[in-house]
Amino acid sequence: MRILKPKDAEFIRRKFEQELVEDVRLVFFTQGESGLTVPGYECAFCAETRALLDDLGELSGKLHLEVYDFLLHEDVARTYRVDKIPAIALVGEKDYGIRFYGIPSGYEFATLLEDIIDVSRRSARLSPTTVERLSAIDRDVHIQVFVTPT
Amino acid sequence: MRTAHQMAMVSDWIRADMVEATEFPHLAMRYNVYGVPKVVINETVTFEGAVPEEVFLDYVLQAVGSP
Repeated sequence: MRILKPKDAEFIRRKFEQELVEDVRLVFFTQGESGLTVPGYECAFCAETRALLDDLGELSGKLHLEVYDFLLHEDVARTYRVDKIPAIALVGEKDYGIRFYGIPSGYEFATLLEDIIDVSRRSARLSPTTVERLSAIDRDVHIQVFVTPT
Repeated sequence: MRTAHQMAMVSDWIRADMVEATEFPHLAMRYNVYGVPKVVINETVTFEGAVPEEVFLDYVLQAVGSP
């Protein structure tokens, strides 16, 4: 483990063991691992986010980490509509449009874990009424939720 | 945050980003993020603070012009 404390890692390992069903792809966009960087653009949290995902990936055989260089794999970034880094897309049998920009720490780390479980179960925990009303939507919706480390 | 991601799971039309404000200060500035969570939907509808699922849904529907 690089970032996770052994006790936390053990807790998450057990949680994943009990709750994960299908495979989940953690599609990660970063920079600098190839030595290539945009001058004047530092990705302060890319390495730390990578370390966190490496840790998580080791906690379940159902998690599959894919790492892309934002600059070298511009086409992949475009496919996932990723426009900044560090970026994580959680992908199941399809891309649901779930993204994390910046390191998910504190409260948002819990969000990441719960999201992984939802994607693995291929189902969200929303009320039937909400699901019903969402089904009426027939045009693009882009939701951005700004958070700070807690 | 969870609600937004779950809505993205349910609808193919919805995508939802967590954006860590301190890592992307230009975006925080562009969207006047002074408190968190701050939610921006389609650049037009914004609200601050944690809200119940139904309220979040109303904002999303408002952004697409649905009743």
